[in-house]
Amino acid sequence: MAKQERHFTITELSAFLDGQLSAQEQALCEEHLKGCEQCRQTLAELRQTVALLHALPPPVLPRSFLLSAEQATPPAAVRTFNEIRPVLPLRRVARPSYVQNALRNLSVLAAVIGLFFLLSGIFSASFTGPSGGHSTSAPALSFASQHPAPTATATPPPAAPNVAETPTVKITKPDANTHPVVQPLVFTLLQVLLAAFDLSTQQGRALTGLMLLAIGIIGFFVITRRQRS
Amino acid sequence: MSKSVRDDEELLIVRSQRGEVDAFNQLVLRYQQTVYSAVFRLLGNYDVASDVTQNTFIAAYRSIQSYRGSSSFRSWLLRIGSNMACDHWRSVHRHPVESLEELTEEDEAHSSSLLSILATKEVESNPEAMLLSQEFQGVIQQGLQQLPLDQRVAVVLCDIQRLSYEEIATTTQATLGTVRSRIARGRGRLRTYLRQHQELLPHKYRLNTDSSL
Repeated sequence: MAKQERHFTITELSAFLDGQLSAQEQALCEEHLKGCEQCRQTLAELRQTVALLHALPPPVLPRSFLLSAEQATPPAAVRTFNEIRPVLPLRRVARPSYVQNALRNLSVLAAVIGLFFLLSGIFSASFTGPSGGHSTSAPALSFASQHPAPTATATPPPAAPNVAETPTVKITKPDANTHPVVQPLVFTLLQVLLAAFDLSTQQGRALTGLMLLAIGIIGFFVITRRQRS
Repeated sequence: MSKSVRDDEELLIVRSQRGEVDAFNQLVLRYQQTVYSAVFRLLGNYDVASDVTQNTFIAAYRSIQSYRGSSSFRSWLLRIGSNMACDHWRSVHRHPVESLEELTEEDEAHSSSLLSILATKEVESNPEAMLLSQEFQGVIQQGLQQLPLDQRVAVVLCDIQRLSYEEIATTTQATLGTVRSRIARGRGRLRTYLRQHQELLPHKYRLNTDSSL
């Protein structure tokens, strides 16, 4: 039979010791042990090991671990964090720091790129001198050149009234400049925004740069402060 | 644990959850020996175990709102304690140079303690010395520290804290099968280690003298 040929593994014998085998396995193991000196020896050694561990006296307490009032009142931030992940208090420090470090580096990167844009915007503006004065119209123009479709329909103003007689949504969009009342406010805003951040203009570059710089710096400080707490 | 003690404990937990430090400190008094023993057996250093135990109680107090009573309070504390001990062990042993220095230091201390125990042979002849000598306790502790962390945790929780396999599974967030094999492999390794130090054992604990079932 198999029980005679096969020795029991350490795992099985250890589980047998704790009564963790199924009733059937437990019986099979007992039967095997009767005739197997080797397994009996292993089991005896495991049992002795466990007996030694049981015999270990508890170490003497070096001091009392009562909480002082100071230890009991954590900073608010720590408390909420512990409530979310209560079981692995030390690990929480290790893992998010990865993400936080990456985010912080990204912030620095954003700030550097922003600074670059800002400087390039400012410098090219000061170099070109007088042309800077026209920059208010420049973004709108460059935006128009990038998006020829809306301007194409918007440029012939005489055609507009004719088309406007058939009031469809499609038409109200192109003649944005001629009919400011009909045009949705959101669209205007979007256009202004796109024009403002247009990288092909000095103002756009400076503005984009300023925003990136601000995001980068804010991000950097927020993350650094969170890491410290 | 008797019913009245358990009710009392529940009350203390509820009061701690309301933020009463005094109530929590009564729980500390009740369990500090348990937590300290477990942490010390996992780490093998009195001072470090002391710090980790203190941090365990601080963390336990701060997260006591999350204790729902699905496991015993004792195993909940042991879970925090063993996690913190493991974190500490990993953080120290991530730096190989440090641990190497530590190891040689320990080895020297260890071998000198072996010599001293060999010199005091009367420990064995004394019938009252059934208790483990201080030195042999050190040998077992050394053996425990040689185990891989997961096996060490399983063995300490099972054979020193006497948690059930189910409790260990919850505590270590592992399956019963994993727990069973970790305990077995840990015990197996420890057995091999102790066999090499047979001569230090009191007769009662000699591995090959008693092969009866």
